[in-house]
Amino acid sequence: MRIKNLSMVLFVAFCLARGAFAQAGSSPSPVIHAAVFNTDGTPDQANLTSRVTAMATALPQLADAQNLDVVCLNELRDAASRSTVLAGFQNDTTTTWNIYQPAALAQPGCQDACTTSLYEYEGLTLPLNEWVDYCSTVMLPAGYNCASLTSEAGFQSCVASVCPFLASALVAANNASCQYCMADAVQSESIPQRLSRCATSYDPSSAAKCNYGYGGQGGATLISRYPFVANEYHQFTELATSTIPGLANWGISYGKIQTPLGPVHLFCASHVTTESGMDPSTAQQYNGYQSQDVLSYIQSKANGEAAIYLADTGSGPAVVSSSTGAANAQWPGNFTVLEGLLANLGSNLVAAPDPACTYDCGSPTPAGAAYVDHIMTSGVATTAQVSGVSLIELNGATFFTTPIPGSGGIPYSNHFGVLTDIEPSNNVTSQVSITSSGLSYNRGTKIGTETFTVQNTSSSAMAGPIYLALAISNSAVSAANAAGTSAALPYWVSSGSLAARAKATFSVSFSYPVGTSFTTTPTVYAGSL
Amino acid sequence: MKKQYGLILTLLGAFAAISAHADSASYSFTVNTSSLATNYGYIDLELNQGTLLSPPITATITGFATDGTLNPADLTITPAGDFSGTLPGTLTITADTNPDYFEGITFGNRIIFDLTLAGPGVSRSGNAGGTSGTLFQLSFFDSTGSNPVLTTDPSGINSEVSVDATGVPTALSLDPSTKIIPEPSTFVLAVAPLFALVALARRGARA
Repeated sequence: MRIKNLSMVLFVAFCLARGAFAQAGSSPSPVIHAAVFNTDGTPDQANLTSRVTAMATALPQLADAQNLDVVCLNELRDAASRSTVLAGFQNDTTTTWNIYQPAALAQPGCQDACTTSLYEYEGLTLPLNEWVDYCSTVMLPAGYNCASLTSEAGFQSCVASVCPFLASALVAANNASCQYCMADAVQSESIPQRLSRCATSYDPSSAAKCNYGYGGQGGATLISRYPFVANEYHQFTELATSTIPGLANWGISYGKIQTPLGPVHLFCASHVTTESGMDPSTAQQYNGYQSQDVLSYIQSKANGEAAIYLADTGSGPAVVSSSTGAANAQWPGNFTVLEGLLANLGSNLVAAPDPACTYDCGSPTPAGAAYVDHIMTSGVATTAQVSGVSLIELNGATFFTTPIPGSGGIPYSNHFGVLTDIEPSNNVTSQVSITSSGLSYNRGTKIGTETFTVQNTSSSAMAGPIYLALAISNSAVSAANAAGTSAALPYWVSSGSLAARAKATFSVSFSYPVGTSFTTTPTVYAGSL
Repeated sequence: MKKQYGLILTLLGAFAAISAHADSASYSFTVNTSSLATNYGYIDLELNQGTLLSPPITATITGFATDGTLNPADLTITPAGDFSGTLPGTLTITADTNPDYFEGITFGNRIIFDLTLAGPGVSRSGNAGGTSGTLFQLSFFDSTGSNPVLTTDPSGINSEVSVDATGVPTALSLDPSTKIIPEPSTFVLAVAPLFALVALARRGARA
């Protein structure tokens, strides 16, 4: 009852917030609605087929209901499952969505990866590579075998059901590369062909070339209401050079969109965790490397323009439970690295359950629950950039951990989605040089006039008009010819866009008594204030 | 041959002088005030920085002379800390947002003075490193002190020397009554190398 009431209150509050934005809609609303969901969609997760089928309906419905502009879906590493979910967006009749999914990383030479070590199960002893083949091809009472399934997730869960010992036996034999090979859906290769390639024999040298888990599939899918004008996949550097086999393909899906408010750079990713086959200390170390990588990559792509990082960082700040007093920090040191450049929105988390978290929130221990899903920004305007970070809600229910209707209690995911509203940066002060002349003062009118010159020092054009806002240090001085005021600051306008290296001039007049000393602090906006 | 050495030395000396005096600029002002002769009014001198970052500049006025009559009893200096001396003696102004020297005068036919701008904010090579420039401005007002005279400029300025944010100065007369001539030192520094090169070229051609 308490939870229902809370949900209702949150939903009403959210609707009111939306209403406020709708009222502001008479002028262009300077807001990007952004969301990140970790789908828990790797092939080895339970109930994947039924979950992705439900997501295919619910996610586009939710995106439309929340008027989302950009969505980052994490951990959809199974190609077939991902296609199922994305078909929901592609078939959405309400909104035309643009999708960027990087291609799987190739694993040349990855074959003959399953060991020939003997393994006994219920009186039958076979080499493990033959167990793999047997478990996949044995005819089941229903008249089919696992290898005949076309769905990757279906195949994987089928094998796990037929031979529940197999995964742990391969791990015990230190033969993770077999699993990676088995998950490696090489293009145009059928599952039986893959079985033949991976399990027919064993070649340690080729097995070592099975570098990536989940067939090299990336786990970051970027979806946007706006068309992408640029896309790129950036594999995290440290893992690309790692000698640890079988790591998932961790990296950033990048997309640049052109919004009515100017360019916005989107970065969608999930970071390595202990679930990736690494010991915790190594995973933490690699996670930290990835945080550093994020900073430099965003800087290189956005170059001071608006950037939004949508990620399961695998790290997060401590959020103290109001009921138990326990904190649930997850590798907070790695998270601090991200805070060094990005405007962390974590402290703005609202509508969080108790204890506040986005992952495994039902866990009674702080170590289990974690606040790891984040939306971060850089290059956005000012303090009023965010309306709040909310766990995604749909029809009054908190998504994703809400059970799928009619599923018998299966949740969409073990992560909450996170949603926020971001005001992109029209503040281009860091991308221009600003100079001014000396003041020309008319003693008769008590008006001083100064010419400001704004030069675009970036390599790309800035949308017009260009606004120059000035903070004046002396209250005895007032703007005499400003076009208006914004945030209590007078501003002047230069119509038209500003090409790279081009200059705009502003004739700025102040009214002040003779002998008045003052300075100004300029801020420049492009497109709108 | 000796003459050629002399020219080369002149040339080198001129370049050296430019380098040595790169952070100052001098001008001679001559104002024809005959249209106001016998009228009472005001002379207004200012050295106004822009409102961003202006490296320091001082303006020194020397050789002030007029056949009119200054009225020290009708002198307003604001703020006093930015000024040293009074006219017709040497007057030094430290640039600020709006330092103002405003003195009554019974105009004669002519006012002359020399202006030297100096300091880190002046750099003929454009290396001052500021983000705002500085403006020396000369204005005249009628006896009310409010109506500018000897000007057609909307801001009421008669003439000015503008130093941009990089330190490069430019003199500009905004009214036909005033002529601004670079002082010999400034002028020579600016054009002597050119003359020397021309002379050297001619001599070479004769040889």
